[in-house]
Amino acid sequence: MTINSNTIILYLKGALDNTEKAAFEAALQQDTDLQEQVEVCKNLLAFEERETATSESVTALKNTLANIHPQYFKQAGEEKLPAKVVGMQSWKKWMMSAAAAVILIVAGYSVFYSGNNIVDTYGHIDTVGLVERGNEANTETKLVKAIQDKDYKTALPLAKTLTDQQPDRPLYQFYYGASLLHTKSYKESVSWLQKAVDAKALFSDKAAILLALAYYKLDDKTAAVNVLNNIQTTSEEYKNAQKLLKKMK
Amino acid sequence: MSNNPLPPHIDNRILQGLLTNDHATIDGIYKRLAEKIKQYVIHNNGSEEEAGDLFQETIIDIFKQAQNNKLVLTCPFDSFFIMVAKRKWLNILKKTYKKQVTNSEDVLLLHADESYAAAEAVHVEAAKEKLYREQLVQLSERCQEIIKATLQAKHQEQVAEELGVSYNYLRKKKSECLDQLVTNIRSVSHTLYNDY
Repeated sequence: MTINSNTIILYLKGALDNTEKAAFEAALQQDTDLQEQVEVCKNLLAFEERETATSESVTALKNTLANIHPQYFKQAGEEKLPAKVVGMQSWKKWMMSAAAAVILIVAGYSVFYSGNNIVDTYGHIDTVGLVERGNEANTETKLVKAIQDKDYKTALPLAKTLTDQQPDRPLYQFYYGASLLHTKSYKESVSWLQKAVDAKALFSDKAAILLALAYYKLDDKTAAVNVLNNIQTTSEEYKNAQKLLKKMK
Repeated sequence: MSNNPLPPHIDNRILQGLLTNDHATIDGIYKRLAEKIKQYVIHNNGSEEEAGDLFQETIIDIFKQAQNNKLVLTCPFDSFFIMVAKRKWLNILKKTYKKQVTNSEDVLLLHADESYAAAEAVHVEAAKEKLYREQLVQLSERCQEIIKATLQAKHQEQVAEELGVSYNYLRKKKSECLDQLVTNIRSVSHTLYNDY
């Protein structure tokens, strides 16, 4: 009888026939390496069963925490609209009395500036998930730090390195997409953020917010609205999605 | 767990409140403990935001463990919570090579001996699950899909159909993916005992 991880899972699920089961158990008694493998597979099964059974209630708990938490702890992602926006509007008002050509320049700048703010206001990801703070020398740690510092120019090459190494890892796709968005490579950011959304990971709803921002910057409002409308009411990002939808109208 | 089992503590009702996602219970936990955890983390080379992360993670870990019916409090909830949070923070510090943790244990009320084992169990279980999940996401998306479906579904034919692959392909690929995952987990599992 060939024993591999698949056989172990079948054994743990009680899916081996009597002969196979007896042979497996005989091998198990003598083989400490196999015992260790069985332990790993047993945990895998337990975690998966637990996740299936508890995912809804954990999500509900996280939503409750999201409501209560800001009353007791400083929230990194919570930002007021920068005062500069107000300043620019006043500046614009003042300019209304000046020459028409100057008004056009300022208005143009104002639109551009306001567009950037929407990414700054809604696009930061420093509170996404429960980021592990690892070894300082590690590329991922440097990347997380750069993102937490909102230093996306530094984050971009680090995120690229990681996605080059592991292009299928959703977390790296997310960080790379976010870094591209914040360095104004909107078109390029779309495909990476879409992958992070499709991964249905812990951060996928945040990725959806960023994806909507990228579409918005590319003047594709319809796509942006579609992405935001897909964010569920139970999501922690639902309120942000609704705010963005209002802004985009 | 302790060899000398103690009767369940009255604070198990807080666990029940947590399990039913009771807003008042959870708010009460924050009211009583947020400041203590914040002070502890800040006094031990952390920031308020890190304290916030730690607080949330601790609640979720305790919730998960309670939901698996593996957790019965034999001491006050608050000291149990602090013990789990402190254990987690020590681990984070260890990993980040930050400065040593201060010895001013009086910042927190620790060492309720009877609950130490239970707090340790919550921490180790959460750390183990985290490590397993980290290894799972290192695999290709296809492998992750196959493993998740395999662990959840009962019939392999059903899994093959759901994934749109042949039964033979599924068997072969499943073995490869599982073997890779188990190997990866085993190669890093020593960190559970060194770091957690």
